Parts: sequence; structure tokens; C-alpha cells
Amino acid sequence: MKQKKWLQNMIIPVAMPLAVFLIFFIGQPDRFGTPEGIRIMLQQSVINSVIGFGLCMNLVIDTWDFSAGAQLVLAGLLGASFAQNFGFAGLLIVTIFMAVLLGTITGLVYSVFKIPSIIVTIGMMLVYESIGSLYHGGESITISQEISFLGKSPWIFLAGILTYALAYVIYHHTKFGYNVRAVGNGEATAKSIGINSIKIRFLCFVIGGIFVGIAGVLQVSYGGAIAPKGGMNTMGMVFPPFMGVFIGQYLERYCDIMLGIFLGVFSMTMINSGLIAMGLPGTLQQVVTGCFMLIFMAISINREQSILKKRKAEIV
Amino acid sequence: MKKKVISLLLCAALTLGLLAGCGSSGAADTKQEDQQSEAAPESAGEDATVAEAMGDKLPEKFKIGVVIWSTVDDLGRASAEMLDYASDVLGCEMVYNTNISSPESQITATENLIAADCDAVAICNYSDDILPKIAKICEENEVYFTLIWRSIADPEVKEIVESCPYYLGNTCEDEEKIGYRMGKSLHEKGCKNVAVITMEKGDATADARDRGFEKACEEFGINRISEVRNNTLTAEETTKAVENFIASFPELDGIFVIGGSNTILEGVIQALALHEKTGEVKVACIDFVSGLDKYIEEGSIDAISGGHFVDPLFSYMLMVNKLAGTPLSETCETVNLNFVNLESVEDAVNYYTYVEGDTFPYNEEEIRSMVKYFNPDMTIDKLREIADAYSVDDVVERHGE
Repeated sequence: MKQKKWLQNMIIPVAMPLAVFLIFFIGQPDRFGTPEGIRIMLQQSVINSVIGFGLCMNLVIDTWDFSAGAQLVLAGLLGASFAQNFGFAGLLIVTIFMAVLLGTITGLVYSVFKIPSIIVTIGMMLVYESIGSLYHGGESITISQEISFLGKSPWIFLAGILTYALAYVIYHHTKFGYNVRAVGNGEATAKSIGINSIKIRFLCFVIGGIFVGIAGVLQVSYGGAIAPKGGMNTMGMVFPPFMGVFIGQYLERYCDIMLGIFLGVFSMTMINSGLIAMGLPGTLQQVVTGCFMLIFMAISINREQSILKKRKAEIV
Repeated sequence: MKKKVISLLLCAALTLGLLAGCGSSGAADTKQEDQQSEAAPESAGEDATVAEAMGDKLPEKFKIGVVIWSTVDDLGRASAEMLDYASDVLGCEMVYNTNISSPESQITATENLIAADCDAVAICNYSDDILPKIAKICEENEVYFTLIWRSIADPEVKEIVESCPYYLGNTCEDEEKIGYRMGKSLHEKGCKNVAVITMEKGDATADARDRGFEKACEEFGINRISEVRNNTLTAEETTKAVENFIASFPELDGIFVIGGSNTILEGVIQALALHEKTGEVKVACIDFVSGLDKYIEEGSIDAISGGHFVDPLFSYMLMVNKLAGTPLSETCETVNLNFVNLESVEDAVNYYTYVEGDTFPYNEEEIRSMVKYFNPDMTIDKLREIADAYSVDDVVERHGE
């Protein structure tokens, strides 16, 4: 029984990325799945995974943070601006500090006014986007190649691994992580054992800011430039990490949620890369990505419901 | 109480941080001041007589609205600065509505500008389909309108819009021709397998550029190996797209960027540098970004066209002339503008020095001369000639030392 469970825990998490890999590898063996291609896909998964680690805390307690993309852009703009004078230290310190500060402000607005998270974070997203557009005259900021080393291999992988370790420790080995999971499992129960859920929700935005800040540093380093975004365009930046978190939450029963997030983001990256390798027109690429998301959500939600029904029947 | 204090402290920190970086916002003002002081001695001669007779400004402060995707990206910002400068010279007021995410929202944006009491509106329409509705709204409200960066492709829509007495015309570039030119440039540089970074289907400009590029592909036997379509690409997303092209298509030898502003071009250059493919994979791009002189020198860009930020100025002149009671034409008119092609570092340096740097391509005197109220000799043909002559050499000839 134990061996079966161990096997299940080993196979199920890697099943989805493996299936995605095989589909494209069989379809395009010459173009997809080369060692260099795999390295590029892994590298591309790091930034969205890091954003996902930050969003995960909020999503576990059913709080949506649509402002994370705008936080990343605004913090990245400030960091890139300081990097012009203070080099890499300016980029690293200012971006992370600003992201934490913006996360704290969002968390404060949310916990003080007690408005639903979707409304608060969309509102804050618009505010941050506007500030980003006003900052520096709305101009894009380019950083020099020397500062952007963190966007290259092996540094980006090192940063990804360290961030994963940080997320793992916070989520599994701190009182805060325990409280997050407790609130996520049932707010009423958590309250009854003395957990201040409002404080936990606020702290989730603050801690999320750390990861958004790290992702900001990586994004500016990887792209070499950052530009302000307006018209709610930053919202699109949080959807791939959201998808990673949904997959991570589904895989949580088989593996660590943070690993699940990475596997989810990696699968999505493989789909994007695979569709390009197949030479599909851009419009069709989006259709396929959308269908994948729908199929995954349909399977995971229906499976959960059938498990619940099965358990209920067993209890009865 | 504690929370309030923390909130106040955090807000103060954020405000201070932002104020520290907002220094460059004054750049446009400085640019205007420089241009004005530069233009002053030039206009001291014949223009002084005109100014004395007519006054420096138009008789009324006309309010001009612009429906534009953004005024913060490279192209949008340069255009808005140009229009603001022209409005300062002529004594008009500009209002921009960038709250547009779809063709339909451009109708709302136009209505909002009309509600904000604009006397005329310039629209950069995403699709022809919205134009009959916009024409109707403008006619009902007796507000003049023009199109910027656009021409009407649909003959039915064209007939409806051109029959509207409040439609004054459009300024446009030959987008198909520039797409073809980019394809031809890539072919001349030996490219056979080209990937394309473009926008989602339905964007009139991107589609036209794409058509031109396709034509070049057919004519020169270029293989369009893959594409990425996204209207909101960032530098990071573009870097990812190019990395995917490199990983999947080892034969890749060219990239065509249909619209390179908003850090898209920077993302392409960064990806090629990361994989040491700069110069090996040729890059052709439409739309200018800052620092092109450096990129051309490094060999990161092989063909680039843009500089069409002055486009709205010509539609603006159609509107201002009409509102001032001195229309350049009684019917709607089309003004064609050339793209600027940068082929050398010197071209790029001249472009930033004279066209889109610390100065504007048209100074105070030249702007005033485009308005019949100040210059009775101005005609629609002369305005077309000015647009037709637009190039780096043209600006250097007029403003060069």
C-alpha cells in the first residue's frame, strides 16, 4: 500500500509535463526537446514560477491578487532606474524593497477596508499601472548587459532554486506557513484555534511582495529592459503563474505545492514552445493554450468532485 | 492607530521614491523651451510681421481630442509631445484618451472626448468597422474628426465615412510597402528562414505590414518559419519568443518585428545577445526606439524604419485649419507620410539630433506656416508636399547647423 502511494506520488506529478513533452516530441522530434531547447524552457519557467510562489500563499486562502503584475512592473521600473547609478545592488535592493512595499500597501488596503480581494487588487493594479506610466516620463528603461547577468544561465537557475527553497521553508517550516494552510483549510476553524485570519491575509500580500520583487529582478535582467504597462495589461502577466498555482494545488496531494507550481508553469512553457516549434499560426497557438487550460481545469475539478462523492458514500 | 501611522509612513516612502525618479518628466518642457528659443531668431524676420498682424495664437483656444493607444510608449509619447508642442505654438489645447482596449472601446473614447467639449477629434482606429458609428456620432454632435496612421481599406465603410461632412481626412503611411521593404532587406542580407513577431489579427496596421512582408516572402522565396502574435508583449516575453525560435529552428537566420516599440525590439536584441547570435540572425524592425545608433553600430539591427510619430501633426493641421475658418480643402483629404529609414550610425545620430531628440522636426515658425490663418499661401497640396518631403535629410537641411 505504502509502495503504491509512493509510486503514485512519483508518477502523477511528472505525468502531465511528460505527456506534454511527448506530444510535441513525437510531433516535431527534430525541433522540440533538444537539450538546448529543454534548457531554454526550464530557464523560461523560472520567472513565472517565482511569481507563482508569491501568489500561491494568497490563492491558498482564497485571496486573488491581480495587482502582482503591476507591482512587478512598477518595482522593476524603479529598480532598473536605480541600477543606472547603483548597478546590480540598486536593481536588487530597490526592486525587492518596492515590491514588498507595494504588497504591504495592497495588504493594508485589503485588511483595513475589508473589500473583496478581486476588487482591491484590480483597483491597486490600476493605481500602480498609472504610477508606472507617470514615473520617468513613462519611458522604458534599458539596463546594461553587465547588470543583467542574473537573467542568464546558470545564475537564473541558481536564483530559481534559492527562491524555491525560500518558498518551501516559509510555507512548510514557519508559523506563518502553518497559519496560511490552516486558514486555507477553513477560516472558521482557524479562527477558533486563535489564528488572526485578517493578519494572515495581510502578511500573505507582504510575503508575496518578496517573491514578486525577486521575479521583478529576474524579469528586468532576462529581458534587458522594462516598460510601463497600462490599460490593465499587467493583469495578463499573472495568468500563467495563476495557472501554475492551480496545477500546484491539484498536485499538492502528491508532491510539494511549490514543486507542483514549477511543474505547472513548466508544462505551460512547453506548450508555448512546442506550438512555436510546430510552426502553428499565432492565433491557433492561443486557441490550443486556452483549450489546454480548460481541459486541465475540467479534469481536475471533476476528479475532485468524484473523490468527494466517493468519500461521502464511504462515510455513509 | 498603529495601522494608520504605518499606512502614512508607507505612502510617504512611496511618494518620495517616485518623486526621486520623476525628474525626466520635465524633458518635454525643456525640449519645447529649447525649440522656442532656437526658433525665435529664425522667426524674427518675416514671421514677426505675420505675428504682429494676426497675433501669435489662433483666435480661439480650440480643444483637440486624440484617441490613441498610449502616450507613454516610444511612438505614442513622441507623437503626443509633437502635438502638445504644436498646440502650445498655436494656442490650442490637447486631450488624450488612451482608455482603449478594443475597437469598440474607441467609440466610447470618442464619445467621451466629445463630452469633454472637444472641437475636433483625431482617431487611430483599430478597425474600419467602427468608423460608420464614429462618423454618425461626430455628425450628430457637429464635431470634426480625422484619422491618424490609418486609411480606410473597406470600400463600403470608406463611402459612408467620406460622405460625412465632419470627416476631414486622414494621414497614413504605406504600411504594405514598408512590410515588403523589410522582407526585401532581409532577403538582400541573405535571409531564407525568417520568424515574425507581430500583433493579433485584426489590427489594420499590423495586417497591412504583414501582407507586404508575405508578398516579399513569395517573391524572394523566404520561408516564414514561425510567428508569435501578441498585442501586449514585454521585453521578457519577446526574449522568450526569440529563444523559442532559436531552440526550435536552428536554421533561423532572420527575425521580422512588425512593431518594435514598447521594449519589443530590446527583447529581441537581448535574446540574440544571450545566445551569441547577434549579427548571425538578422533583425528587421518597424518603429523606432531609443538608442538605435548604438544598436546599429553593434550590428544588432539590420533594417529599421519608423519615425512616423509626426503623422498626427498633419491630421491635426486639417482640423485646426478647418476650426480656424480657413479650411485647406472643402472635401476630405488624405496626406501620405514617408517612413524614415535608418541605414547607418550617422543616420541614427542625425535622427536623434534633429528629428526626435531635443528638438522637434518642425519649429514654431514652420508649424505656424502650416496654418492658413497665419500663412494665407498654405494649401492642401503644400501640406502634402511637406509630408512627402519628410526624412532625416529634410530635417537636417532645414534645422542643421
